[in-house]
Amino acid sequence: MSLPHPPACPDRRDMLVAVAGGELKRDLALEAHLIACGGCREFFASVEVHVRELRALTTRPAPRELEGLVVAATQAGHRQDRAVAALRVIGPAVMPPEVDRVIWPIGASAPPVLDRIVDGNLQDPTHSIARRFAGRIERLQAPRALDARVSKIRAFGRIRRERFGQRVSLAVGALVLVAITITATWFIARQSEVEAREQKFVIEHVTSLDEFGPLAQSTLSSLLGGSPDADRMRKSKL
Amino acid sequence: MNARAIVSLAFVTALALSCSRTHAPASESQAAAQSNGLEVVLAQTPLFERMQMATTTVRHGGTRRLQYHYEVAGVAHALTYEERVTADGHGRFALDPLRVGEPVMTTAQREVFDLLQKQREGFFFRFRDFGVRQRDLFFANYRIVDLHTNPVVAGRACMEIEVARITNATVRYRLAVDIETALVMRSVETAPDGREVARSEFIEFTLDPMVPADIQWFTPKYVGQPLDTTSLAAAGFTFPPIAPKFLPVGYQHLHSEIVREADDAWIRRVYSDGVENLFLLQKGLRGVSILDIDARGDSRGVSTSTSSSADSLSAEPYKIRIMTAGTWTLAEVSRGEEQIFVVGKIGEDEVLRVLKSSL
Repeated sequence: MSLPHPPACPDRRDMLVAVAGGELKRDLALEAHLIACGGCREFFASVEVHVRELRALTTRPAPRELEGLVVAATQAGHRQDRAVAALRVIGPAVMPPEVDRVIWPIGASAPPVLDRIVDGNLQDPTHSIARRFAGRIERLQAPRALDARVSKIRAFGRIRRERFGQRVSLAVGALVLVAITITATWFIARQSEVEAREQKFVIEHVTSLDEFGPLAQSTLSSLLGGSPDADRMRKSKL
Repeated sequence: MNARAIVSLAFVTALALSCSRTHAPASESQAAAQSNGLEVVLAQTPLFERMQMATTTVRHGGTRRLQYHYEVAGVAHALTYEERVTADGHGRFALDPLRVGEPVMTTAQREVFDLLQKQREGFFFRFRDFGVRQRDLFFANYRIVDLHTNPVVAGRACMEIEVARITNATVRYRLAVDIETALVMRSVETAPDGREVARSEFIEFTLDPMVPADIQWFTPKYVGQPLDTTSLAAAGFTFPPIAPKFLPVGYQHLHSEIVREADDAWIRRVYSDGVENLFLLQKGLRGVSILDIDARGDSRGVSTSTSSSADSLSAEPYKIRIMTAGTWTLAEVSRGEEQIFVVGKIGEDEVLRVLKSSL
């Protein structure tokens, strides 16, 4: 009865499979390790056997369903790029007249706007595809650190705006105060001046035209049709 | 005041009032030029524009009765008299007193009064009676209501209208205007309380007056000089003329001129709201104004001989006399022979403001 072999070294298994499959070449370090490690030597030998046996098998095509699944699993998300690449390779081709007639009956034509859209998409397919499918992109949560930084910047901006607003309010208030002070000073000074001027007048109410100068008497009398003069005439000794 | 003083005062002042510029032409040729083709224009002109010119452009004559009622310090005064109106339609006119109804006068008193009234005819013609002084101001300040009464006054078919200030109405006019000629046949002026303060009405009227050979047309003794540097210097004024900084609402300057009273020259400024007149008259003393002296810190017109007297007088206030007679208010400031006065159909406060703003 032979002693059981120890298991292969876990960190070397992938490399041993690759060497057995021919993807990597054997080197001196591997040879030295295989001499020293029985587990790895046994594992490498079994893998070589398996590889040989697998290569000896007859090649059979994979079922179509499997192929579709594989393609879908490995190439999903690149179909549009591939389609565009294929279209680029194909290049422009003239539509056979009979096909053209079937698609577009005589007298009918594609609306110009459709032509423009198609041309635009062909000119810049990446952009048009991005535009069309942008709405389907999953919205990811921003990292908390970024969120915190943005919040901090926004808060800082708000504080700056508030401070600026406070300064503007203070400046406006100061200006209004200065304006009020100047106006009040001017008004008081003017009032004093007016009062000073007012003091220069003494108003005397009189009841007789005789108190006025000759021309003032005559003017008022004339405006009253001569009535004051008629009264004075009547009172005279004529 | 004795009778001689009254007569001399009346003559002098009436002369000053009458001798200023009016619509009256100075000669026949001037009159003809003034009215050339005017009849055709008048027929196509709206009534209120024709009213401005009718007194000088429509040949007419007749007897007009005038009544005035006013109070001074609560004492009522009244005057009723008649005058003959004659206008040749070419700018010449005459207002001749006929009889006085009230107050009762002696023959001598009435003769003096008639003489005085005759001397004032130029002033009466320009300023006493209702008139549209300035069309745009008139329409801006006055509300005109057609009363649709269509009275007949002295045989003339009239339309009757009421005219009153839109704001600050002190009086109201009820006018009967001859539809054909646009002459005011009757004017009744009432105070806000409805009292009649003045009435002017034709009691006889004709469009073809008999003009007596000896008629005394109004003739200006001199033509009022416009106010400019040359005329001021010629009149002996060496100071800038004053002008009010304040005018009552609706009033605007119409014209300024130099008028003379005896040896004195006066600056007369006339302001109007379209109907009512506001006068500011200023007389300087030997070419020196109150304001000139005041500006130099002197004695405001009494004496400039010594600085000590100037100092003592500079503290003296201006003395303004003010009087209200009916709807008119007169305020005058004087120093010695210097005088400035304002008279208008406005309240005391406004007259004082106009006068003070001029000083």
